[in-house]
Amino acid sequence: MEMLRRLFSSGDFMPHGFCYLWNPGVVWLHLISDTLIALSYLSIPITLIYFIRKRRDLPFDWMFGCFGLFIVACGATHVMEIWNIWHADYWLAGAVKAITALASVPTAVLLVQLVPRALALPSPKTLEQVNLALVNQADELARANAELAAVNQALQRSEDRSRSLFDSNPHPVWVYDMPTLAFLDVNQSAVRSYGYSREEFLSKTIKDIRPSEEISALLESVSKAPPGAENSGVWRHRKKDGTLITVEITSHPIVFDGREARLVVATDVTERKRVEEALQASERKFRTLAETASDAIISANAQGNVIYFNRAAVHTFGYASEEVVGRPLTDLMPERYRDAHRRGLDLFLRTGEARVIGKTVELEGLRKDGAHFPIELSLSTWKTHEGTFFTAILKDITERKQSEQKFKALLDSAPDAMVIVNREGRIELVNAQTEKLFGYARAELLGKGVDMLVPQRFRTQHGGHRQGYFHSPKTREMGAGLELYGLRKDGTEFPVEISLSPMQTEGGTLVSSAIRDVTDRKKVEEALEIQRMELARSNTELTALNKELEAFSYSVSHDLRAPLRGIDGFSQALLEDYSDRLDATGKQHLERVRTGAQRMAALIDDLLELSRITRAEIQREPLDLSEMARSVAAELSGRDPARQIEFVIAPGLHAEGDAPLMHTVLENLLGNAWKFTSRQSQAQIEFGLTQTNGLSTFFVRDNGAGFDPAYAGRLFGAFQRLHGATEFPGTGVGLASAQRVIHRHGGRLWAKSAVNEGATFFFTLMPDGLANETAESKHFHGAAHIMNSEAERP
Amino acid sequence: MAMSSILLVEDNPDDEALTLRAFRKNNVTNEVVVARDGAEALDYLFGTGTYANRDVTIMPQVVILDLKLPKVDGLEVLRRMRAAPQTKLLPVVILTSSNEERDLLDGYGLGANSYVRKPVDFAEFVDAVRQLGLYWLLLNERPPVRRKN
Repeated sequence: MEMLRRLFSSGDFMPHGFCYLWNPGVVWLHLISDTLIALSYLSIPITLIYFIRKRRDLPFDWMFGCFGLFIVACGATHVMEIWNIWHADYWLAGAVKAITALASVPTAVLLVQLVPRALALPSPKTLEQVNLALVNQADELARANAELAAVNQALQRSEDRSRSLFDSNPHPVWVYDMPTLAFLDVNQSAVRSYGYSREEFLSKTIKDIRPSEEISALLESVSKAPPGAENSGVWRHRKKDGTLITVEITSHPIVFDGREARLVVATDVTERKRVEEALQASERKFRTLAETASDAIISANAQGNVIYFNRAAVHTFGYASEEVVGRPLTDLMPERYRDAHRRGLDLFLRTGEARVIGKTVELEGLRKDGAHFPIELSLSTWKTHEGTFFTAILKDITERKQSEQKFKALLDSAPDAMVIVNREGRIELVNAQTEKLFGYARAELLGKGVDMLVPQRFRTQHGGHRQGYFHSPKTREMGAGLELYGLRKDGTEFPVEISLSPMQTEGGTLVSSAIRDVTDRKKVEEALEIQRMELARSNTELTALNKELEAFSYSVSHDLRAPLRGIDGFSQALLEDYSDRLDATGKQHLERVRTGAQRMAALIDDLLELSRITRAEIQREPLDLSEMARSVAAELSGRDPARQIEFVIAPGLHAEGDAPLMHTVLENLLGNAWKFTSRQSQAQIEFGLTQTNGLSTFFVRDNGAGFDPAYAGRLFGAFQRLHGATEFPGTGVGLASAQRVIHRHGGRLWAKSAVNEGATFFFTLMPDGLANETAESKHFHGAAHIMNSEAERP
Repeated sequence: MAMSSILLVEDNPDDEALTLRAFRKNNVTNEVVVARDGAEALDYLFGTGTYANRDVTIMPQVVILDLKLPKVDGLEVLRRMRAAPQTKLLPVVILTSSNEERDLLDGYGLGANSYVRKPVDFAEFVDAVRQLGLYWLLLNERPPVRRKN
């Protein structure tokens, strides 16, 4: 307060007028000058402020402010000069000056700093040039304006067109505001497609046409939207009625009414998607089907290169899919098929003439390892916009071929003609025998009616029978009990026998007929029948003869012996009752009569024995020949105990034969040996088993008189004797009987000997022809016997 | 015990004589009735024909039967004997020339007690008869004979 009081107190100072001595001139001069300066100084800032206000683009305007303040301050000092003429308020005047100083010093400092920048400002001269240029530009601008107006007009038209394009775009198109996602504009198609009116659209955001679960994805997509146009992918949109559609979105940024926005074109791909998915599903289905198919499936393009090779194909050909795809199909076929394949492919592509397509053919395949193998192939073709393609389905038929071949070989090796016929009576298959039997070549028969093999007169009923057979097919003879005939190509007929059997095949039931030419058999049968009748006749005769023989023997047995008994008996009676009246010669004569009678009785007995053997029925049974031989030997020894004979009988010799007859044989053979060793001091008779030509052969060996081999042929004749009756007794019937028995057993009896070297009689008990069949077992059997016999020898 | 008779059925007089001689040689002293054919043998046994008055309660000790006989053959005689109760168990020895198997089987089959073949050698014959006599006439107990009514 003191300060202010002092400031506004004149104190002890004198007004400045006193310095002027109140000289009016000086006072006035100062007064007027200061007044004018103050007024000017005050007016300048006002002008400056006005200028700044008007020229807002003025650089450094704050400097004008500083300058204005400085000038006002200067003006104030001049006002204070005037005041000080009459009032000595020098403190106040000083304060004003101080303020002025405060305003001027910074202004001066700032001005210095400003000078370089102010110098950079265009000088008035430059401005003048600029001005000139501006004037020119103004002219240009005017021209440009005129052009702009024209452009504007065009633009207006273009905008109309754009609008019309926008509206008439078949795809829904809209513009949305980037910050708010609100629809800013939509076209007619959008309205049509989505069911919202334009006004409804404009009240919505793009979120409103999405299913709720896709909104987050949408927001992310929007936030990352690139500055340029982009394909934003496939989205799902919800229509007003709630249905979902699949759309492909293309968007690009635009400024719309000065706002950042995006133009969106939505293409409804719902149908396309559905078709695509159906296609994919179909493709998947095909792939799965093709991959799991057991047949090889190979697709090729028009160039004949493989484009698909399924798993079965991999298995069949031994190639991996990737090894084959892109390679020509010819890699999969043997060399000799390749040219035909290329020609066929070319022909088809040029003319559409298909030789193989749609048919099933049998070819050969070539495996990776170089092996050829038979295949069955069916080929189809399909076209796409990419061209023509082929798909082959094929099967390795090696096994089928083999079994077919086996079947064919089997068929051809059959002794009968085999004709396989279908339900219609067409010949499906014939074998080699058929060609031979009927005189047709195979090709002449296949596919023809089987009636061509049937004589005309049977054909009608044959057709009917065939139908009947197919009705209930089972293996049976054709026309049992009937005489059947075949018809040869040359028209001749021949008797046949036919057996039928049904065959179930892929092509339905077939009937296989085995046809046998029975011409020869018929002939044989007829011959046999004649023979049989002849045999029956001779058999009857033989039976009658046998009966006669039997009667004869019976009669001989009874009647022929009776007189001999009388001769012998009464001779004996004479000798006994009349011996006193007979001299020695008479008695000797009677003895001779008796001897003669007895010898005749012996002959009759032997004759009867021979006849009995001839008539007897052979009843085979297992025999122990060793045992039988032992009993015969015992009998012989018993008859003449005085003789020293060594019997060597192999034990365990078994055979099949008629017991009583075989007994007769051993009796005769051993008896024979007994007889012819009678002069031997060390007689030995051996019965054993040996092998001749693989056949068990029994033998009786003695070390007796033997016989001259020159007469061996007579050895077995009835009543044939090689020795005189005085040498060795006998009727000559024994060996004949033995041989007859052996023959009736189907065996053989023979002898080996030399004079004084003993004899060996061999016999077998079965036909030589059976030797091989039984040799093995018999041999083993026999060998065992021989071993036994050797073991038991002393 | 009274000596029983022997019925010899034999058509051949030589054989008859020789058989009787053989009996004698063997000291067989029994009465021997000879029938010369089968019919006569049956008449004797059953008291028919020429033997209508015979006492059929008295039967021979043994019948020596030849097989080959006129009229009725030996086997037929044997068959009828075995069919009739009074002769069913009478010992029968077939004494014949034949040794045909057929005859042997038929003979034993019809119930013959023995079968002896007449040998040509008389010595053997005597021997055979001796054995017959020993067996049938001395050792064998004759079956009891049933009287008629």
